[in-house]
Amino acid sequence: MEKIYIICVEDQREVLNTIATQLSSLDQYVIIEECESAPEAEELIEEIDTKGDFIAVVVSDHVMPGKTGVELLTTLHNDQRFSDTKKILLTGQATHMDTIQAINMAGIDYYLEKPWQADDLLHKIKILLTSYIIQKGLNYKLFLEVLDQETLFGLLKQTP
Amino acid sequence: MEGKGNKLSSFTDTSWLKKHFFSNPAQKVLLKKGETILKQGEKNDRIYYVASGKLSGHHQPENGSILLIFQTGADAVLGIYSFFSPDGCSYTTVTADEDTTLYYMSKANLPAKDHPDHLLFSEHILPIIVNEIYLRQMLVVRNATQMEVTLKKLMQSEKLATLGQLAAGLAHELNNAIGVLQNKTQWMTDRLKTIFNHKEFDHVYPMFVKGLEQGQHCSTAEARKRKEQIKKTLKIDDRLAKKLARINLTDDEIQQIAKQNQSTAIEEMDEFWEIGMALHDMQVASTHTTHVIRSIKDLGSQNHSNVQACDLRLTFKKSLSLLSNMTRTISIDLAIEKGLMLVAREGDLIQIWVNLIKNAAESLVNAHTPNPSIRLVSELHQDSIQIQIIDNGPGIPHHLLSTIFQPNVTTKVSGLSFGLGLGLSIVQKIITSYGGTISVTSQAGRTAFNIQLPKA
Repeated sequence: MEKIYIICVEDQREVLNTIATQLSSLDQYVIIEECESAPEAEELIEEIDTKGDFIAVVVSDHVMPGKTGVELLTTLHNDQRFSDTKKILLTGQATHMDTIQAINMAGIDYYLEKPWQADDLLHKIKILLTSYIIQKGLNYKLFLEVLDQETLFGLLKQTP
Repeated sequence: MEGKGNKLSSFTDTSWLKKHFFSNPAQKVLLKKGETILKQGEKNDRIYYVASGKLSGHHQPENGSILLIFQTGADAVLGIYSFFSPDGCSYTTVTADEDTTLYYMSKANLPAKDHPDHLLFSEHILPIIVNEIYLRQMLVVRNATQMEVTLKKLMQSEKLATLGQLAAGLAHELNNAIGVLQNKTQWMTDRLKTIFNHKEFDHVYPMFVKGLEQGQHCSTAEARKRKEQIKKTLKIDDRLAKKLARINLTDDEIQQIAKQNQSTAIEEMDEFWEIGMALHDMQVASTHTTHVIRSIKDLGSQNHSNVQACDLRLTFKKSLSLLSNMTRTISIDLAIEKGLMLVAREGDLIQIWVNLIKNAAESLVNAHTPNPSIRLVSELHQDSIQIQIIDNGPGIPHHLLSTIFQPNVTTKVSGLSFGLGLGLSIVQKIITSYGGTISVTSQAGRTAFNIQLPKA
């Protein structure tokens, strides 16, 4: 069975721990990876892609040393191989320009403001995971436990 | 207010008027020093010509202090305004500053309309009237400009004061909230420690303590590497190996696990480690928040805090924690020697560092400088401490270097930041108040602010 990855990128250790803990209920079905910087995430993403596995969702902080979250997600957005990968941007203090850039350049799917609610993040991730799995034509039945039912039904109705 | 001399402009020739109107000995007035010739608000139907001496005119507003309107000397003309104005009242009280000789003409002396002198009088008095209007206009402009400057200054100092009060209020509110979180975290940690330190938890208690004391010890990259090793050693799946990898176990401990019912044991160990780690993170986060709040408070209450011996390095640390968000993408080299003490208000020092580091950080970020860095260096001299704040940004434009410490000079053209152009002028003011100096050298790739503060 192909492996599905969710990648979390956040330079602040405690915040990264929090994301990982909040997503731990998914880890029986998908692999949650943690990265402390954008370059680390890029390296890992290459590795996963080489093995032929899937990257369903990338959750990234915005302000990080070296490369920002928007830059990371923009790189990903412009890469054909990851055109279906869902992107969530976390941010503590977004200015108007950052927001515009994130939407226009990085094609992000969801914008989450810090501090966020665990339920909110988990719910969004499930929705995005569901549409990724359907888009990729993967066997969704193997993942039913971690999919968003409403999204799933909606998508199944559309695809004959 | 500075009164300008009521001198007539050069194209005004008073000789004709003097000869025809201001030379009658019967209309000559001698004023002793301190005597008054015109009174504000009183009727005046004379024009005075000053033959010699000095006078000044004052105006007293209804609810205000006396303002000096003009000072004047020989060859000037007085009373033009009240003589020609509709209400005929003097606008100022005119007093002799020294013994003064005046000649006057009254309305009765005015030539009749059909008299040839009528036209000549008009011709000669006109430049004097224009001059009077000009002087009054200048006064209005000067006052308006002065008012604008004063108002601006007032607004700026008010803005800063408000900001300080706001910061202090905010700090107080946040302190209460964070205090609760910090104390309850501590309480919960103590409680759980007691509960878990029990026979039935013997095998997992060390994991709880490890999480509590170390948090997640290794980097994510290290954890991934370690996971692969553990996967091979214990022949377990990815998910479990990952859990073990982040706990930072010794090889011995891993060997122990190999003998047990692996998956249950690992799940349980991880669970207890994670509880410990969560408490650890809560403590780290609340401590960090407390530091930030304290720094904000120090900044806001700078005027109330006392002069005391301050640890220089500590003031830099506090400043950096205030700016941590802004400087996250910048590598900061804190090379301030340990144990250097300065006698100062801590808030003052923090305000200086914050301003200078913030400027450096903003220029680095705005210029997208590759490998942005700020170096903070100290050097101990015989009777002073030299501090340098050096960045590798684009530098300060050459034409601004000489004016950079003046108020209202700013390189920040746009943005949400406080680009009032006051920062460096305040910094210089504070440094000067301690008998220190600040200077700057700047070229592309290296801008250094040098601060010299006397040792106590």
